[in-house]
Amino acid sequence: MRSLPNRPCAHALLPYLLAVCTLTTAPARAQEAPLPNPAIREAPALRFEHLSLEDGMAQGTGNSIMQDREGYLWIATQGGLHRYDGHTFKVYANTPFDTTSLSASWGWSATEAANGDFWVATEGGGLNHMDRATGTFTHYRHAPDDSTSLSSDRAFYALEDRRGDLWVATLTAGLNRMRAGEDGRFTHYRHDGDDPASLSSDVLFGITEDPGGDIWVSSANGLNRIDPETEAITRYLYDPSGNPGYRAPQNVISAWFPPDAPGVAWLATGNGLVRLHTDTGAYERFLLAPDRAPENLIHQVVPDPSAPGILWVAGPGPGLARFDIQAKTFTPYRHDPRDPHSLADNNVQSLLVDRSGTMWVGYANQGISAFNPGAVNFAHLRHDPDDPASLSPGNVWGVYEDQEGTLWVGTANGIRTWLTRFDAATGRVTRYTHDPSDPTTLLPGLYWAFAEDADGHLWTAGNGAGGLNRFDRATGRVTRFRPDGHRIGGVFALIPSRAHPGVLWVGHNRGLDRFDSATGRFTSLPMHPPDGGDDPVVLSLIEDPAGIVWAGTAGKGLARIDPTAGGGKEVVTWAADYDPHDTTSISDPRVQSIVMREKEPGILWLGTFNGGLNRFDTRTGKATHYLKEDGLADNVIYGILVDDAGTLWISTNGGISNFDPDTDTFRNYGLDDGLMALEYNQNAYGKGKDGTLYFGSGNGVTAFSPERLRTNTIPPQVALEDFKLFNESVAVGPDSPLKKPLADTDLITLRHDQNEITFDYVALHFANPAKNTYAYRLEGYDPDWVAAGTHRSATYTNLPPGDYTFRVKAANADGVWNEAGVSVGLVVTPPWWRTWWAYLGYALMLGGLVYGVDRTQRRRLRKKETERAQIREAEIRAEAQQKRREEAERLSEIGRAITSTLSIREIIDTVYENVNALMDAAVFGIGIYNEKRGRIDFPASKEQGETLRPFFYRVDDPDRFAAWCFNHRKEIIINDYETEYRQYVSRDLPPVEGGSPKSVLYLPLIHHDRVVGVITAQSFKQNAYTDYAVSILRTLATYAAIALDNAAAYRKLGNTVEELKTTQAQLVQSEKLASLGQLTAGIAHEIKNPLNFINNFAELNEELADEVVEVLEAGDTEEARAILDDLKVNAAQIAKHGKRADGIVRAMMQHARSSGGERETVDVNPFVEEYLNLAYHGQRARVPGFNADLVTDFAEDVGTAQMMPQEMGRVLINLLGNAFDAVYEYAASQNGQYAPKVTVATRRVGEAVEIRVADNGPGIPEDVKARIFEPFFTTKPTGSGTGLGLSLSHDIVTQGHGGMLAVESVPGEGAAFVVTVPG
Amino acid sequence: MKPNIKVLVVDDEHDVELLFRQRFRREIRKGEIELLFAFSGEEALSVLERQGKTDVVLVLSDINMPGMTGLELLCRIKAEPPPVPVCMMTAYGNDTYQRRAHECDCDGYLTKPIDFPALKDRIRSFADSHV
Repeated sequence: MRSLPNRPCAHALLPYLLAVCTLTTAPARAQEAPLPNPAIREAPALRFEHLSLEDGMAQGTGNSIMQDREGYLWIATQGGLHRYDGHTFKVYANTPFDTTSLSASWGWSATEAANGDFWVATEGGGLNHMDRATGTFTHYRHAPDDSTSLSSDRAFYALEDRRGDLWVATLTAGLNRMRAGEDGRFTHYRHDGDDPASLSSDVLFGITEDPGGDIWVSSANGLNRIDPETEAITRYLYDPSGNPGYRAPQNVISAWFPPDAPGVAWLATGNGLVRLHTDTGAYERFLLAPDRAPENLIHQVVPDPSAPGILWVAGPGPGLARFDIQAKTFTPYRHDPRDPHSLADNNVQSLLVDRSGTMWVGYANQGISAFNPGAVNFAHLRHDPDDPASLSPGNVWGVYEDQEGTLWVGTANGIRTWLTRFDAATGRVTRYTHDPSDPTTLLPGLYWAFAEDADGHLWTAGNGAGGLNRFDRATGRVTRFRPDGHRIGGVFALIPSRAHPGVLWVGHNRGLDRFDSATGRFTSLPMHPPDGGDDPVVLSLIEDPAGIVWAGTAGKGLARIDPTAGGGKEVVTWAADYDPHDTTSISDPRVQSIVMREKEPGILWLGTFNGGLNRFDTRTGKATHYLKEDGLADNVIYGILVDDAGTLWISTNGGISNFDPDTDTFRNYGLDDGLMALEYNQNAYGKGKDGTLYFGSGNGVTAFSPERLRTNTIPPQVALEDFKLFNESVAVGPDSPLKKPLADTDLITLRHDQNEITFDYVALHFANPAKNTYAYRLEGYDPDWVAAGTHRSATYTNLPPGDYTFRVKAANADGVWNEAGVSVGLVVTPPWWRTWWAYLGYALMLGGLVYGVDRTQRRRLRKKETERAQIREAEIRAEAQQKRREEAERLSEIGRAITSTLSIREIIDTVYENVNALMDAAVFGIGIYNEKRGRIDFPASKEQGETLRPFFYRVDDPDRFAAWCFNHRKEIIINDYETEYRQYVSRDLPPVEGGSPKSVLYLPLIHHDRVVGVITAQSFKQNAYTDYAVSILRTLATYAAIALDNAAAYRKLGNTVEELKTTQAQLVQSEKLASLGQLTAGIAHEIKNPLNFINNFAELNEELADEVVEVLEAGDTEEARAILDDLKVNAAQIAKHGKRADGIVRAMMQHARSSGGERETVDVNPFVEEYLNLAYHGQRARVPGFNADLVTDFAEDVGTAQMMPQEMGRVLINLLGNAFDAVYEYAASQNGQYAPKVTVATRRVGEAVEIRVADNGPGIPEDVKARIFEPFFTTKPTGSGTGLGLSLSHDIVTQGHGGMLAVESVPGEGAAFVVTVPG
Repeated sequence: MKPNIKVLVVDDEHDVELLFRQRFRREIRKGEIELLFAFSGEEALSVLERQGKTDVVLVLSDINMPGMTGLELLCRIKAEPPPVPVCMMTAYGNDTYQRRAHECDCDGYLTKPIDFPALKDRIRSFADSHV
């Protein structure tokens, strides 16, 4: 509810009040009645959430409700068995001609079997066994001619005991027992009037197995205990006179055995709740309405899920009631036609407490309802028009519990206002009101501000006739106090001063007064608000331990009043106000409520009218904000209370928020939790002595003890609901991937083409099912958990063959996770052509082929050998082969050695060494084709082991072997030089180096079909080279070619790297120049302005000097004096702007001078400010029309840091330039709906100094953020940025200063770069 | 120059007021011209509102100011009738600025340092054409 207008409305109401109030008589206008305890006066409101036909139920009779091991709810109705998962109902009913459907739709109960199947007892259809996997039913019916069949088709309840025996209660024919392993064969237990050891009745209801294993069967005439071994029956509550009615006291409908109290059973009977002591048979009966018998019929009793000593009972008699075992009292909850969230109907059939702490009732025809039993911890006080001892009518505007524990509540119904007193000592309820004819009654108006003074007087005030009421608790008389001239209107805040006994601080519509309760004098404290206007409305007041008073105002923020600083005079200073440009200011200038926490001195918590909660630090003057997006229920705050644990309780427009500043967590309370309203009122809140918190609303007062409110800490059960292939549910079956129900399946095996799968899952936690949240993961596919929110399905398509595990976990609405969750294994098998046996087949086929070829070969060889019949030759051949093999191996090793070398000289050396070992190579050389110069270079040829100087042959030289070999791509093999050389060259030229050989080999070096050079070996002997030697050299030539190619590639790579290095250096330089350019533009602008002034004033002075001469000649000395004065002023201007320019130049010089390598002590704030100016003007010079809101937030204690000014300046220029670009470009895309802003902040963090440059631009996407400090990474169009700025800045900060450069960004909200350097 | 014509000078440098008052001291003394000053674009708009646009024959505005720039001021003034002549004065001989100024129907573009004799002629011509 919105607050009342600040201006008093009493004068408008006054005629009304006069007319009405004269009807009451003075002075005892009070209507009195006893009140035991206001907090339990009214049964706590429970809020029932209803589910019925429109929610998907097939029929509305909730005969019984059961929760299975997976967490699903099962509701037996007259129209089928329902499964509920918190979202949807699944109905199992009888289908004509389907013998596997339920035998009758009218079900009384469903229970779970040991194997997870269900037993369903039906009216007229006997017993059903439901196969959980298939959802099909097997029927067990009564057959008149079969004595081992079920005794009746009117089966009410079936229980499978720990032995596996099944017990079935019928409504007409006693009990049936089907022993484990004897399917379909029932033994009967019946009532026999003459046999006291027989069953007490044939009309049976419930069956329970106690912790000791005995079976308890409740009947229309008492309770039976059966020993399953001896089959002995003991009766309890049996009435031999018989003829029991349904409301008879011996009609036992169900029993509950508390696990922690052996020997005790709680029975729901036709006449109340019974506690039975099973050892002795003694019992106590608790009646809900002793004088109204029909209201005592109950069907079920269950324990409260969290409160020990509390039971809940339900039945057609009372509806629902809460039973306190200790107090032996019932609190009934009945249908209230005015309240749609009350019990839907008093005819309740069944009751369940589920494992998530939610309770369920089933009605005779209104479906089912869920409620939160914890809501009883909210108690409510309401007006009851029929009860004069109830709260006065109307809206609650004030709540106060005084030192004696008496509760005072101010209400107003639009015509009249009241103050209701709930006296703690006498228990009386008294209503007080204004009587215009009696000055000892309350002043007219609302009563919402309360205080007690040191003398024990109660003071109250409110919106209305501005003044204070001093209330005498003994006589009920009021003494009224109003300031002279009635200058104040509504009083909003009233607090006694601890520092100044007898003083009350009064916050009112015209500001603040100090009230002396001893003399009755008001003293106005002028507040002098900074805007120069009138004193604001003071909405809230608090006095801190130091005696400082803090005043929250309507529209002007927070004022601080120091009552002692001014030598006895109060000094008002303004501590905080909303500043839209400063996010550390308070978030709203209207401060409705102020509290402090003992553990946080100096911190005020402010509740604002529309800016949420503020944590205000009185030492720094800065505020932190908590808004709806942080978890607060609503941004409109009316009141804040601090509980004994130090957490805050905040009344808002959206319920009550509980905020724990120590953990920074919110828990919001709404109607579901038991609140009577979502809107609690301004000023209507207070805390009692025992820690009880009170909040007033339009409906009354809500009271609660915070420590009794708990969040639901029960993690949800998670279930896999469905498994789908290609969006079709997979049924359980022998040929299906699901052999068993999904819940019992460990592994699902799929073919490779069954690869589009869906899992549906659900958290079976019913406190607030719509707010259960999920995360899932397919291990082997998802790298991490997928946060699914409230979505209850996961689909995967095109899963490759492999092993997977699907896991899902869930959290309840309070965020408590079931981390274990559920999982199922999944195997997608590979196609047949990729299985192991397929591979085996491939291997066998290949083996066969090889074998076949081999056989043919051998046959041929054998034939040859026989033909030659020369064993010796064969031996020689074997030897030769052996040698070849060895040489081949050696060659391959050489090859490895050669090709692993990248230096040409080493390649030549290595080849030479090996050639030399295998043949005569007095002269050896490798020529490398030099394409650029058209020649073959021999960089390191050998003669007799000596390395020759480098030489070359031109490729077009016709007289060189090397050129011939190269050009013809052919080998030259000369074993007799004199006779053979002419085949290749026309002239016998001497070698460039060394002597003339007799045998010469030249082989081309070919790699990838390209001649890369030649290799030569020469000997001074004739016939030096055999075919074998040639072949060896050929092999080595191949290796050499590869090695040379590698070397060439490597060299090329080396060049590329060098080029890159050079380019990078150039780019770094250009980036530096760019920042220099920005800097220079800034400096130029800075310096141009003072120069203009100097020029202008100098010119002016020239003119004035001429003028003064003229004036003096004219004899006007007065005018001359005036001109001279102007001259002087202008000279001063010249000097001033000269100094300004000088300062700029000096600063520039300073930066230029600092060599960059030296760190200096730099005063951080002026340094940052200077560069901000330079960057800003530089930007404006560079980008015409650039504009942005610049905000500086410099912490005063930052001090100095060790920095290289020039380098760090470059970093700042870069960061600021980026920020300016970001907001400028963003502004261009936002069509004027956006105010660009760049914030520069400094602060000291321990030893370090932090400089933060933040913009409100588009922010930085995650992928960009990860790479932002990489060199050459840029988001700007090609050519407009080097991509080096941030990388350089990063290097300067981290390597140059040993600091850190971090980036923070929220996409859509802006980015911030934070430089941290050691201080 | 007609008597009592008003010129509004807009510049964030406060010393500009002193400079202009001295430069125009003779005209001011003779009552030919009245100088008004504003130190931001926002202030200029409120001065215009207070004075009534018809009394002001010319607005002279710097471009580079914190908050509302001179160009924005120009466009704002030109967006509402009646038309008031606006001359920009700037230290930047920047083509882009000049183009943008003319897009908003700027009546003159003076570069700093200002040629005051030329400015005076200009004001006279504006005053003459001012009805």
